[in-house]
Amino acid sequence: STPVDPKTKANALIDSLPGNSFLSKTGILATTAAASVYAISSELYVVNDESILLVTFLGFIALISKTVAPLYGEMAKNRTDHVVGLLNQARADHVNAVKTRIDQVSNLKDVVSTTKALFEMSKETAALEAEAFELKQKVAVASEAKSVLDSWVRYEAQVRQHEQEQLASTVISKVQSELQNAKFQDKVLAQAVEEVERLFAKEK
Amino acid sequence: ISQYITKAQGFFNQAIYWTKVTVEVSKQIYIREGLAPPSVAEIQQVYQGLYKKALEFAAQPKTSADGLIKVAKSLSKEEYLRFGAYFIQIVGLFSLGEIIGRRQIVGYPSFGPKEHHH
Repeated sequence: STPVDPKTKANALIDSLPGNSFLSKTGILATTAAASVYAISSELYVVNDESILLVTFLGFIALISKTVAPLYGEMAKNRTDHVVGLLNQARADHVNAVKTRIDQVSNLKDVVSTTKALFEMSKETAALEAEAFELKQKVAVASEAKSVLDSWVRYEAQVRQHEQEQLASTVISKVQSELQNAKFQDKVLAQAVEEVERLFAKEK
Repeated sequence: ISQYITKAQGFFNQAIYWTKVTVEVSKQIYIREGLAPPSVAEIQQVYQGLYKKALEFAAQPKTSADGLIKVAKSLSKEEYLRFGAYFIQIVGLFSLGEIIGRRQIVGYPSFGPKEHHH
């Protein structure tokens, strides 16, 4: 691989630093360099074999990160993809379950209008039943009245019949008693003879 | 032997490359941080300003001190950090000057007669 132009590499290194508004990226570098120079010059930091060990260790860490990091990254990516796949699958299953439930419940979507219609019908039925009951009561009252009136009619007919029978028997008994009377018998006989004579006279 | 020469050449090229990168980074720091030496006019301006301030301080020490305290109080955390960084840079440059002056990174060279331990 062709090495990157030193200028570009330098800019990339500077840009990778965590610079912010009050202390620029190059400012951090300059300050660090100045502090290092001061520390070494004043023997605050003594460069000895341990420093070489530190540099070696940091180099080793850099090397490890360069080689192991991609492998770990790939492993982590695979793991992430696996977990994401599981989550997506679970989500899809959940969506399907919800859709199925929606399909099941959608059959009941007209339940409100149906219930309203049934309620209206039940009100109508109740009204009709009430009316029917009222009419039944009226019919019952009417039939009761009719039966009472019929009984009265029958009673009156019986009374009239009884009166007529009494009247007839009275008349018959009177007639019979009159017939027993000699005067009446003579009178009737005279009338009968007179009528016979009249008839004979007509014949002639 | 040729493979060792190739390897050594590779290391040498790497060293040169990273030296170039370091030089470029240094250049960028030099440019962006404005580390170029000031012009004569700038030096005159700064020192004249300092001279005036010193005269003012000598004439009215209390007022000047109050002014300084006021300025110090009005500075934000970010500004303190920035000025702190500038101070560290100045100290670093001073240390670099010392190193160049004594021609030795740590300590001063001894020019006297060598000590004899009996």
